[in-house]
Amino acid sequence: METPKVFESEYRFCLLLWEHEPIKSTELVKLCQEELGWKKATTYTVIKRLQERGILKNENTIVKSLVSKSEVQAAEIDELVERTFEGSVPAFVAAFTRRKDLSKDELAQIREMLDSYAED
Amino acid sequence: MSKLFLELVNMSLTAGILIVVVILARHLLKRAPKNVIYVLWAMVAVRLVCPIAIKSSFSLVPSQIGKVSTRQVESSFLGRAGVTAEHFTVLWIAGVLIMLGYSTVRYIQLYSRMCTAIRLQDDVWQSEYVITPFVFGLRNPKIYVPYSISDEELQMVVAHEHAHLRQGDHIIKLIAFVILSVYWFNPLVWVAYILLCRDIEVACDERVVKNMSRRERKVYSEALLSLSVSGKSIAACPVCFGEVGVKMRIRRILSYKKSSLITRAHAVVACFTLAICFLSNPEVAIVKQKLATPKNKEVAKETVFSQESNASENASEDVGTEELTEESESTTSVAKADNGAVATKRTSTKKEMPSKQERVQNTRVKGIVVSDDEEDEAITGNPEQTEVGPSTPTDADSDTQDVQQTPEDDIVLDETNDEISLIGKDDTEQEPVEEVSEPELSEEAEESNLEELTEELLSADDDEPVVEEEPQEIIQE
Repeated sequence: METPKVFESEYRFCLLLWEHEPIKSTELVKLCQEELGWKKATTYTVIKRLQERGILKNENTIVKSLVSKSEVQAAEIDELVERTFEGSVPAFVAAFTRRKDLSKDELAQIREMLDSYAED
Repeated sequence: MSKLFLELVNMSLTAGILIVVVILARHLLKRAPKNVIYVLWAMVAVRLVCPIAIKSSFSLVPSQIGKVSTRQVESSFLGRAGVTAEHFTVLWIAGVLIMLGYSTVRYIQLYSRMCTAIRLQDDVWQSEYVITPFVFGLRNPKIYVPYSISDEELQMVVAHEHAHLRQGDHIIKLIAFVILSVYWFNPLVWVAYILLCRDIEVACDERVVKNMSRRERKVYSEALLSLSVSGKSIAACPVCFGEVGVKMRIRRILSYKKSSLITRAHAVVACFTLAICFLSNPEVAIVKQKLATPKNKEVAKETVFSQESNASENASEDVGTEELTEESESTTSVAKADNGAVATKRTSTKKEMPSKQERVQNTRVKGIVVSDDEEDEAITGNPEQTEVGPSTPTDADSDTQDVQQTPEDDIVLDETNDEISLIGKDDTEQEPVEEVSEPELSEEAEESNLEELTEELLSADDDEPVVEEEPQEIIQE
């Protein structure tokens, strides 16, 4: 299934959710108020909206996500690569490495990822 | 309602002149501290909002301006095609509603979008819907920035927006927009609004940048550039960071130099001069005649007072008859004489031409026939009425003055107001008016300097003779 699009503000909301789920909606509201500065009505509206999009579910006032963080991130990257790099992942990586210097640790991490990927 | 509309039209015409002058002034005062624009545009706002203005001989407002009346509408090209002032009024109201409605809708849309903005720090919030940073909210204004903003940019933006908030720019813009909504029909007001917005931004830049080093100013300019939008939004847009004339702003920022004392002195003098010359109305008194209109059912007879003013204040405009809402009695229209007779005008309490005569008084002017009901009173004149005598003008030099009427009379002479009506009775809303110039003396034509006349009227008591120098003719029908 295609991962639904999550907008930036909603994404930040989801980050909170992933960190604290499953969570009672009232608690989630309080959390959003503290962390994001959202009003109660806003939080409920967003919950409803994301529920309609299939990103989370709200049963018996317990909110749980339906897509994981990595899935959303992957979808985000896909869109970025598609849009900005015309679908070429190497181009994306190259551009990325050109701008930022990767530390040794990061390089090692990436190499490991590539290796494990190749093995799949 | 049409009366209100016409009054607004007239006010906007006068204000239009001031707008042109202000545009010129801001150009000439380029080197002065930009905060001077607040004074300049405030004057325009006063002109547009205040129906009353003091009379002064220093006024540079041409007195021919702003005398549109229902009569004129009727006799105009459109008027003959059947369009009345009422039609225009309806159209105007529609325009106002559209403008206010549209901006309300946009405001609500923006509000609902900004609900999901996430607080970054203090009163700075981030949202994916923000392209260029702006301030939003009246009671608790918040600064909204895009997610993609860098730290340096953020610093500059916050400085800029805080400067806006401290100055109250978000409220000023709102008030300006409301005024614009009322005066939407006058293109000069649109120009004024657009220029005001620009000036507000530039003034804000100046306040922020004045204590910055060259390097900091460069950073500021870069932030401005990277966050600028090319879209134009005339609607009551919240105060935006990169919305207006970015190139010009950057140039000013980079070349900012504290203005010299002399320049600032110039600015002060200029403001005072403008205020004196344009916030006041000329003291011209035009006594106009009003033509009897069929719609004035109670008109029985009409008397025309004519008076020629020295200045060519002689507006031979037709004055529409209008029944004053406040009065209960009849209004009399005065026939217009072709020879530039001046008609007595009645100033409506609403003040068509703001400054001139505020008094709408029930005064009886000799020789003016009020209505059938009261004809005699008018003709015989009241004790209050005084003869217009050839006394020497008290102000030889002042401009024409408005002719005013004594309290009980119905006629108020008002040069700016084309309407003349004789009010039968007491008009409780009337303020005490001085004397009326008595054009009455039936055959008497007196040269009077209108201004002196007004002057006199202003200071005269009921029983004091009114000085008139102008010839007056009274035509009685």
